[in-house]
Amino acid sequence: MIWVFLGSFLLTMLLGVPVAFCLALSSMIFLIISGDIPLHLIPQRMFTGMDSFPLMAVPFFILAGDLMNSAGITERIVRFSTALVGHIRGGLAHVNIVASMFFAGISGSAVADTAALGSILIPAMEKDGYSKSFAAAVTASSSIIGPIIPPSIPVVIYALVGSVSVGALFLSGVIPGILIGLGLMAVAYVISRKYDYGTKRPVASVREFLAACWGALIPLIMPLIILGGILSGIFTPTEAASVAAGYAVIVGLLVLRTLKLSDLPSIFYRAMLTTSTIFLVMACANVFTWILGTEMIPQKIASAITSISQNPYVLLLLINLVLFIVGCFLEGIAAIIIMVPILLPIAQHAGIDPVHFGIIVVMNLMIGLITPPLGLCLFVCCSVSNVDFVDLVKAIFPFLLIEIVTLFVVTYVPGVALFVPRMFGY
Amino acid sequence: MFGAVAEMTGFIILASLFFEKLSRVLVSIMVGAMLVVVLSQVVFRYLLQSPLPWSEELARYLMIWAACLAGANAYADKAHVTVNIITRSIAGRMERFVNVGIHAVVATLMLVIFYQGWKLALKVSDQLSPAMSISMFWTYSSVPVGAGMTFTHALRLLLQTLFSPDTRDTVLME
Amino acid sequence: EKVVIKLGHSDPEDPCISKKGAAARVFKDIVEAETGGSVEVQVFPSNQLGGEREMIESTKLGTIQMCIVSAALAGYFRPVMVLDIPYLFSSAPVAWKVLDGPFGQELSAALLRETGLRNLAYGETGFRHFTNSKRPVRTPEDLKGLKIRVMESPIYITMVKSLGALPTPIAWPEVYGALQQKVVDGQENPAGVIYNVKFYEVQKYLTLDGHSYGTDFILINDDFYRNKLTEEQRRVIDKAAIIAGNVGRAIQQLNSAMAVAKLKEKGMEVYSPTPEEREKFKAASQGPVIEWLKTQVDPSWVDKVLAAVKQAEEELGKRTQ
Ligand code: NA
Ligand code: NA
Repeated sequence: MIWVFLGSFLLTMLLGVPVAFCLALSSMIFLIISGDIPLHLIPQRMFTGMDSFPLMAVPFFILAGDLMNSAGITERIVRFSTALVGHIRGGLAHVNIVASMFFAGISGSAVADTAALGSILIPAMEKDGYSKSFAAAVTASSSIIGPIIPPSIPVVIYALVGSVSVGALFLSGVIPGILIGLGLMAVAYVISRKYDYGTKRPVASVREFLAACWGALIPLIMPLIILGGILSGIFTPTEAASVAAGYAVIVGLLVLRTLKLSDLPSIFYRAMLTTSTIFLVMACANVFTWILGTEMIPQKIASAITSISQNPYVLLLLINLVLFIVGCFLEGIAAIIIMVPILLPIAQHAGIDPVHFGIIVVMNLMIGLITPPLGLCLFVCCSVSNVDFVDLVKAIFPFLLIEIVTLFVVTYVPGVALFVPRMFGY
Repeated sequence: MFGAVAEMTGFIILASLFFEKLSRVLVSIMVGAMLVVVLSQVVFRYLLQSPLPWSEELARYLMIWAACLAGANAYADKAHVTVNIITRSIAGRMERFVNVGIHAVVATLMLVIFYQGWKLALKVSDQLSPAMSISMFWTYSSVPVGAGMTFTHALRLLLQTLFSPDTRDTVLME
Repeated sequence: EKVVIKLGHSDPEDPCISKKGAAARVFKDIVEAETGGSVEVQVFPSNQLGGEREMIESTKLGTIQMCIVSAALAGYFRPVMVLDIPYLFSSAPVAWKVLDGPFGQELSAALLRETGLRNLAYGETGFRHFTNSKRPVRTPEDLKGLKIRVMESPIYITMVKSLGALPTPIAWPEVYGALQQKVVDGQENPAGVIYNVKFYEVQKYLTLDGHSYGTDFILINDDFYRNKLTEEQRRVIDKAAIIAGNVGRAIQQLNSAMAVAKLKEKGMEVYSPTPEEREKFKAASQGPVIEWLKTQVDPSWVDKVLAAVKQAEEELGKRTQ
């Protein structure tokens, strides 16, 4: 019976039914066959799957990102990054990567980053003599820094599913995010040398630099408000998201005046539309995992994995492998919701810190976003830049490699992730 | 017989379009209200030193309602997370066939969730929420309402896919 | 044919650190042994079947058969709120006597009539105490102006307010962080919880005021109980539940006593109010809560529980207070 359950889930998913509905549908089939559990379990679990205050961070962080974007913040970040690293060989590639790191401070989603920065920087890089596929590869591979450096929507979801402190998780992403950024810059530098990309830009003058700094002040303050507010006890991480959104509204309406009051309803609506696609997966997965739980499936998978080895290093390798495969086919947040309840107990049993494990999960699944065949960021990038998919996959390979190496460093050197949260007493 | 079917079809398409517009307005208002409520929660606790006991619950229920209504519209917009490894590689009649199947499956599922969810909402109506002491009917009904709306959208898309001369099934009702 | 009971609770599985875990374990083992395996009890700890509110709902609707829950039951059956009257029980033995006596039976009977949930036995979540990071709290005056995290429950909000502090509902997953970053100054929970979730890392002062006594309810779906079980199976289940409730109480008492000692070891400053100081807490908070309660439930429930407490205290004498 359990095979009918899992089989109908996989089949409907491959046929193109939205993932959320596949979860609910296979649950419905299971309940009908088993016969002794009433069908109102489905709406009940759907409701309780959304009934959680910390989830509120999701719409607010999406809203903050949307608002900042429509307030023209992206250009300011690009200008600032250009003043900072534009003169290095491969200038615009570094600008692209550094801008992603700053953009990460206001956005929690990689796809948003790809779309926002890609539409500005890919044409600019092309004009500057970079190959289009290289430009697209830099954009896609750096966009996954967004959800690793705080704030981050996948982290909020992981924290909720695994009952782990959001604050600690946010802080644990800082160093891994910067490491990925530096790794990508190194790769971009080597490739730019080989193809003689980006040698024309002069060092920014002090005047230009200060002007760019001033222009970027508004977006750069936002991460400080978020982390500062959380760490000083003014608000909780969930409330921080609402403060970020409130800040973006005020900046757009009153400071930059790029937004009109009448723009707000449609921006609010769009943010909730995006949110609802995440929530619906959460809601339906809550039905699905209830059945998995009562059928003791997590325990069975756990004992299957731990029967291979008890060694935490080997376990981490196995878990990373499982996540990587899942992440190649399933969208990151859906994967967190389905896989974390199964994998976290194994990790904890092996003595792995749940915060450390969280950043491993998030990094791994974000790398899945740029891994063929199904990486979502690759598709977004193709549609933004009109690059051929296969060319993009070839061009992204060295970047993907350095990210996998970084993932291994973060996995096997816990201090990389845990240093910052420990510094702040978590 | 045929007239009744046509009438029913027309009714469903109108309902679907109406729900989509209505949800759009309601969701915008609810998200705005959520933002105001959560920001007030911070202001009342941190600045005014008089925490609000009900703000968290209110914001949460607004969020669930907004997500259910927006989730229905997301289906009409085809914004839901989908694995399109197979659907991307097929075209023409086959694609239309698969799409009809998807909409039919989703419509059936939504009908079940609507019916079961509505029954459940009635069953829990004697239960009160902890902070605001309102009947849980008002919060639980969000799921069946969202499912009911999604049902009309799925039927509309199904009909459009069946009867549209074009294999792309979104253009007909714009 | 084998009958399966799905039993959910919110505690960890380990019976040595968890009262509900211990109760569930004892219940399972006794029932499975004494029914010769004709009843299988599947225990789902750690909210695997959902939070408390959801587990009660599921038991009521027959999705699962049993749950062991505490405070959330008030959402389904208001009169159980009278057990949360602040400073109602002067000691655990008084609470046991009241709950196992005629009052507890009457409450269970009313619960069954109104909800279809059969309360097989009472267990114990334990007395709740205040902690904070600002100052030692000896009298209600010391609580004045402190932001105290409470559950989203009007009783707790009213109680904390009447003691002069600022009640602040914060979702449970955010509580540790909120205490650490000083979004709020304090919180209230049983000693075992305070130790298990490591609040000692972020809270300095513990006041053993025992403002409310948390009750566990061992609930079964009555329709299932009456129609799916044989008389012999019901007899075993009744007995096993009473044993389970008492084991839960014992484990809770043991953990609570050990937790206070361990919290001291971890550097918390523990204060136990004198009877006079406790009387001050009681005087400040009991009136307002009772007044509010009488607008929510049949006032006779309040009078009945107060009378039952008085009688139990007289029977037990001063020894237990
Ligand atoms: Na971010
Ligand atoms: Na980028």
